[in-house]
Amino acid sequence: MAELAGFDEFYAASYRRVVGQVFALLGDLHEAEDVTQDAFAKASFHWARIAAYDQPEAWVRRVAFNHAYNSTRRARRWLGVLARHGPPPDVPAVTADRLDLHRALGRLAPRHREVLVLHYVAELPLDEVARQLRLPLGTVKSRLHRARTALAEQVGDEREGVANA
Amino acid sequence: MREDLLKEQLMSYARSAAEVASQPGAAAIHRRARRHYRRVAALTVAGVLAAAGVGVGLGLGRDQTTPTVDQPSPPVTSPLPPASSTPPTTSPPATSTTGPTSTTRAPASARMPATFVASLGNRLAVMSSTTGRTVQTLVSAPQAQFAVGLSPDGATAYYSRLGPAACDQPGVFRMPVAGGPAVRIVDGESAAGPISTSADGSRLAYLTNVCGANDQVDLVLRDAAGALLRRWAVGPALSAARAITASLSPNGRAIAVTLFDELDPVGVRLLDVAHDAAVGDGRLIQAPDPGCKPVNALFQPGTGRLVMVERCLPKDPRTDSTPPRFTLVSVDPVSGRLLARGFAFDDHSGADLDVTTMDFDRSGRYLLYAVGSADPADSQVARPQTGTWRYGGGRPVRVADDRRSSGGERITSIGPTW
Repeated sequence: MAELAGFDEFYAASYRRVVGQVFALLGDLHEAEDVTQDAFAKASFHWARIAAYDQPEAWVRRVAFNHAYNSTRRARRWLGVLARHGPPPDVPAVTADRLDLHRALGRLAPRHREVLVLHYVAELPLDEVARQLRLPLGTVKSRLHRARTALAEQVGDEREGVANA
Repeated sequence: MREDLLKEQLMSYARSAAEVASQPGAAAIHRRARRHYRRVAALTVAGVLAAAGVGVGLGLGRDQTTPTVDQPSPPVTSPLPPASSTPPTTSPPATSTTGPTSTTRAPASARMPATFVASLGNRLAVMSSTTGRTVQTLVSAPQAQFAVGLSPDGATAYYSRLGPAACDQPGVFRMPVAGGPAVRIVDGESAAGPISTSADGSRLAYLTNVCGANDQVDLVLRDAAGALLRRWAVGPALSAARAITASLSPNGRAIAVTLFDELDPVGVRLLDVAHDAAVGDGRLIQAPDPGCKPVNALFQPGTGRLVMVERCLPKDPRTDSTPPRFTLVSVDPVSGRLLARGFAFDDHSGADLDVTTMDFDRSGRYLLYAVGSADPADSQVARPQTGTWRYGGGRPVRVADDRRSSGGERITSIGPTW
C-alpha cells in the first residue's frame, strides 16, 4: 500500500468540498455522494499517478462531474418530481430561498450549472475554469453571464409565483 | 442578482449539503475501487470471448487486434473496410442520395498517404503519418487553433481559425499544401469544425462558428471557391440539440450531421442537400448496437458507406460502472444496417473520452482519428487512448500522443485530415 501514501489524508481533506460542489451541480445529495465516492475510488486506484498532479482534487472533481453528467437525465426527472411534490425530507436545511435556488439551478443547462459551480463554489478564477473545461475564456464568460441571468430570472419567477399564490 | 449575493447563496447551498453528507472511511473507498476494477476485469475477459465469437462469425482472421494501450482493452475485431458477407441494402433508390453503397472493400493495395494535415499547437502543419513529426508548417499564429479540411487530391488545404480569435477576422481560407499564399474564400464566417469536401473537390460543408452576439450555428454548403450553395440553421449553440460534425457524401448530394443533446449523442441526421429544408428533416440514423449512440460519423470514399464511432454505455451508469465502450462500425446509409466492425476501445479512465474528429484518406482504405478528453489531467499526463491514430485494419497506430513537447505545445492534433 506504499503507493497509496497520502491518499487517506487527501480524501479526508477534500471529500466534503467535492461532494458539496457535485451536489450544487446535481441537486441530489445521495447522487452527489455516490458519484463523489466513485470518483475517489478511481483516484484511489490510480493514486500513484494522480498523487503527482498539481491538483489531484481537480482530477477527482472532473471525474465526479463526468459521472454526474451521466446521471443528468435521471436528475432532470427527479427535478420534475420535485417541482410537483416538493423536496424529500432529506434535502439539507430547506428554506424558501434555498428551495428557490434549488429549483432554479435544476432548470439551468448542465453546462451553465457547471460554470457557476466551478467559479462560485469551487472558487476558481475564470481562466482556470476555461482551462479545466477546455473552453475559450470568452465562452466561459458568456456561459456565466447567461447562467446568472437565467438564475436571477428564475429565482424572481419563483418568488413572484409564491407571492401570487 | 448581485454577484456577491449569488456566490454566498451558492456557497451556502453547497456547504449545507457537504455538512450533512455521509463520508465513508478511506478503507471503504479502497474496497469500492477494488470492486470496481474486479468487475471491469471480468467484463474485459467476457469482452474478449464475445469478440472472438464475432470475429469468427464474420469470417475474419485472428490477427485483428485492438489499439495499443497500456490498460485492459478487449480486442475486437475486424479491420475496416472489411469484405462484408451480406450485401448492403441499396433500395429504395429514390431515398438514396448518397450514391451507391458498394459491397467491395476499398482497394487493399492503396498506399497510405505519407502525410496528413492538422492543427497542432499554434500551427497548421503537414505531419508525417508514420512518425507524427511536423514536415512543414503551413500557417502559424499565437494562441491559434484551426479547423481544417483537405481537397481529395491532397493539394489544397481549407482552414479557419478556431476559438475567440476566429471572431476577430472571421473567414475561411484556401492555400496550397505545397506552399503558397492563403486566399480568403469566405468572409465574415468561420468553420467551427472539420471542413468536409466532396469526392470531386467541388463542394465544401462545415458548421459555422459562433461569434459575439450571434449565438446561431449553421450548416453551410459552399463550392470550392467559397460561393454559398445552401445554408441550414442548426439553432442556438446553447440550445438542447447541437451538431458537432458534418460529412459530405462522396457525390456531394447528402450530408451526415452528428447531433448531440447537451453532452449526450442523439444520432446522425442524413440531409438530402437538394430537398431537406432543415437539419431536422434529415433521416435519423442510429448506432446499430443496442445501448449505443454515434459520437462521430462520416462517409467512406469509394464505398459510400456511413462509418461511425458508437459509444455504448451501461443501462444505468450510476449503478453500473462498466466503462463507456467505443466501436468503429460501418452501416448502410439507406437502411442503417450494420455492415462491419472495426477497432474498439474502452474508456477506463473516467475522463469522458470522445472521438473528436476523423477522416478517411482518398482511397477510403485508411482512417485518421483523434481521441480527446475533457479531463484536466490530460494536460499533465498522456492517457492511453488520447491522441491521433491511424487505422487501416488490424491494430490502430498512434501517430501523436497528448504529452507536451519541450516547447510546451500540445502534440495532439485537431481535425487531422489527409
